[in-house]
Amino acid sequence: MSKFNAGRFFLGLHAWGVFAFIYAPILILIVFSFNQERINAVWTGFTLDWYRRLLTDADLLDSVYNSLVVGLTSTAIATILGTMAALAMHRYVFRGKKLFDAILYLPIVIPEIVMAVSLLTFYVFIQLTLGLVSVIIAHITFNIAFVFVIVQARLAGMGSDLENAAADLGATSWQTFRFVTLPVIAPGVISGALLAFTISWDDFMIAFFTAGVGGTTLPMRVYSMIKFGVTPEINAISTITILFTMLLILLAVRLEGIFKTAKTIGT
Amino acid sequence: MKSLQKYITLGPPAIWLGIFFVAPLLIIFVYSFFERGIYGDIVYTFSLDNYLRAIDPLYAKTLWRSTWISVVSTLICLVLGYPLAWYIARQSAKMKKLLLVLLIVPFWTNFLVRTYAWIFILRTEGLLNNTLLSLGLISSPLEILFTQTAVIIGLVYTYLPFMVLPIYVSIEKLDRALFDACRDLGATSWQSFKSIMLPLTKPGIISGCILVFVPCLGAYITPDLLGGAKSLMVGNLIQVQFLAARDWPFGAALSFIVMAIVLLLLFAYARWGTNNFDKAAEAK
Amino acid sequence: MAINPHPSNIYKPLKPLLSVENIRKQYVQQIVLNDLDLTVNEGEFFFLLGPSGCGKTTLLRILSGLLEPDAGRIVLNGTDITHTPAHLRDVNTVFQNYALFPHMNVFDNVAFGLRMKKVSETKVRENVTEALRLVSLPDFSSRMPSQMSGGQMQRVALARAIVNEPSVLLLDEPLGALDVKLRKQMQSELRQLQRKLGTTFICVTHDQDEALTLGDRIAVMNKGRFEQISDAHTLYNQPVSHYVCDFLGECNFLEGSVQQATSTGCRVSVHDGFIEASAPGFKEADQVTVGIRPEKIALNATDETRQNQLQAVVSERIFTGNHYQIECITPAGSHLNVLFMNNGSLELPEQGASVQLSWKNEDTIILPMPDKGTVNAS
Repeated sequence: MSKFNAGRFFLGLHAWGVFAFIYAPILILIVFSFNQERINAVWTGFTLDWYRRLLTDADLLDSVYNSLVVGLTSTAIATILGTMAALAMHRYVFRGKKLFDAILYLPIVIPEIVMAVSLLTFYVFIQLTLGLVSVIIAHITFNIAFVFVIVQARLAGMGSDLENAAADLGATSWQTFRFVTLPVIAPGVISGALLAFTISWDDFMIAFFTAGVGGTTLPMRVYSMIKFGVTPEINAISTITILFTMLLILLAVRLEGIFKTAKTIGT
Repeated sequence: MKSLQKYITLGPPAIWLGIFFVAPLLIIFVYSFFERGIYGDIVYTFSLDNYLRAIDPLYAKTLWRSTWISVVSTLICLVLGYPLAWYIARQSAKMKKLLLVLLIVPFWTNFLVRTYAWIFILRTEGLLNNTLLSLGLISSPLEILFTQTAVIIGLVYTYLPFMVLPIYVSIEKLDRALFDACRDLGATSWQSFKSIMLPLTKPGIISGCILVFVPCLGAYITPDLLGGAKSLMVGNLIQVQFLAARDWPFGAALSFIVMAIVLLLLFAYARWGTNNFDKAAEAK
Repeated sequence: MAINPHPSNIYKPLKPLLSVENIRKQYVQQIVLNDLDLTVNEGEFFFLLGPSGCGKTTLLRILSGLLEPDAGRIVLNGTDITHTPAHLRDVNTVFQNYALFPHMNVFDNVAFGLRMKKVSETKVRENVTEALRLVSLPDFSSRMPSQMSGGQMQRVALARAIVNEPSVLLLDEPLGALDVKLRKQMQSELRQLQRKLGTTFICVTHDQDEALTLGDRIAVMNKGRFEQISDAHTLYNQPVSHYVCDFLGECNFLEGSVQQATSTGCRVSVHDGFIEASAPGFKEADQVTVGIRPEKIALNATDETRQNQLQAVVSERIFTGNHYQIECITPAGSHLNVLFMNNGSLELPEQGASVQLSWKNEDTIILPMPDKGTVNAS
């Protein structure tokens, strides 16, 4: 019996050790973004200087602006297209359905670098000038897959009963979509959109290959800063990014929760 | 009427993915059989040279290294992840949920930033060395950054949740009564773990291993930022072909080799049940 | 035809409302519905009874318009509605898992059908309130489905359907998701509601008790066909096939052949001797199955009217609370179960005791051999 408890103790110790491993680097970054010392990783005092400096870095602000444009545009379009794909898969039978299903998952599973180089090759092939537009197109493409996965899971949870019930009660297929399907999957669509925005906001690989002049996104800017050398400004911008992303994710998780209660009734 | 609705719903996403996803993949597939011209242009003659070059020792070394690094990272993830999944599965429902969120949330924060955090910690004048030096535990800084070790740390750090989630799901699915029955029949903890839990959670383990191995194999940023010249992986090799050497056909061939390995593994994975995969895909 | 017609059938003039003609449905290789014909009368509580996979739900979905048949016609009130889509049919459904819209409160759920028909809001309010009162949920308007119990959701689903005043109300395993106690209660409420509204109900179930208790008429389905369509009494006492006899209640089966047949009955030879039945319609040398319901058999009765008698030995006694079940074996090796009430009227025989089993001629059920599936619509 005592051996059993010891096992349990070490299991707990291990688990919290792993969580420390996961969170320590992030917390260290955040803490040191307020550190006065520029070169060495030694705590010398609290300062907000690095954050102040970010605000005067025109290149950085440009890249934030670009990231926002790319994120918002690609999210809007990918959410619509991804939701349509999920609805089509949910509702209809058509030739090549299995193939289409596989293609919808593929952008998630193939290595990012492969997708990046294939898009670059394609853009050059069709002679599209690389810039912000090329990044947006690329982001829409992989985000369709992410939105699809989330919305499809919601539709699967909803089943076909509710839609049948609506039709039975006299709703046309448009009314069914408008008054039943859309409201029920809405939390899924919104969390899909949040997800898409987060992924777009964080993406470096695809943008790195497909952005041209004037298309520098925030991660690309951060990447070149890191390549140039470790500075407290990177800590500061990292901290802001981390907090921003966490906010988005918590929001998505929240919506997910609301949805799950709705789902249990629906099925 | 119904078929019109069908085409309006299906058409736009299908056309979009056809143009911007399938077509690009087809193009690099075709390119992988062409050759590079003197000026980095593309000579349109069919040849298998690019695939043969990939197994030339010069490049095979990188492919081999990528595989090796990925295998080691996967195993470390398994060793760290299995007990963690086990621990989470044994908590109360509320605690489970909290721990799973805790596990996934950092995963969503910027990949670059998380990798940068390790540069900050591991570099010669970084936090780890500073701390160890000032504590007198070492006399000269450890050279970890820009080595394979750093790459492996970075990969494990990044992909650990992919290991934990499927294993957690497979443990969660187990009936607690099985464990009790096993103990009741006189097995020790270790025996019941070995004879019952390990075989029954095997699908989860295999899923986890594939889900970690696949992205490790295609990694680019981690080896680029944390690794040195001697720890380049195939992702870096592809990048060099496209952006520096301008040998697109060879880069395309390398891409296809990586993709073929990945898809083969995923196909094998699909036979182990798709449930776990959906979860991990959502997490990603 | 019916010996003991149900009271509700006596007083209502039968007026055909819905007819199903030669309906056929096929999936790939498998025939799900095989040329079905059926007429349901106005105001009837009609049941489609059968095990899962017999095609009953498929037929219900065809009636609701959610599924199209491969062949055949459906006529409602003299109008062919075979190809009318679900949302234009004067038919509503109570779905198996209720299918309440989770994002709407009870009022909006019930109002949904009326609003789709663009009924004025005042009229909507009036009718919804009335419907909720009918299902005894007058104060639940603003509740969300997530805040309700299974029984309450069931009532909302009912209200949502009846508020549209459909010609036919379809119910798909309406009580399937409820626990036993609640199911009994809902059964009687459902019956009262149907009487009050006078609407034709067509209900799908696999639960024979439910069908026997509530149904004015019941269609027993097997492998995409109707085995027998009749009222509960006829089905139970005069089943036309082994399948129907076995599906409804319990029965002892003995195989034999007709030795003598007259216009009023027949005499069947079995391993244990001869059994007499007042069933007409068989001829000499027919291979048949004899069925005797366990509760029709008496133990050691002296009653002269029980013409059929068999000697047997008690092999097992099982107490089930309100009943005793006695398992007996005849000298020829036939197993027969006897059921009697736990009301002290009979002395319980010991295990191994010799007993005399007896029953009346009219309680003998004679069935054609199972492979001859007959369809009998009455």
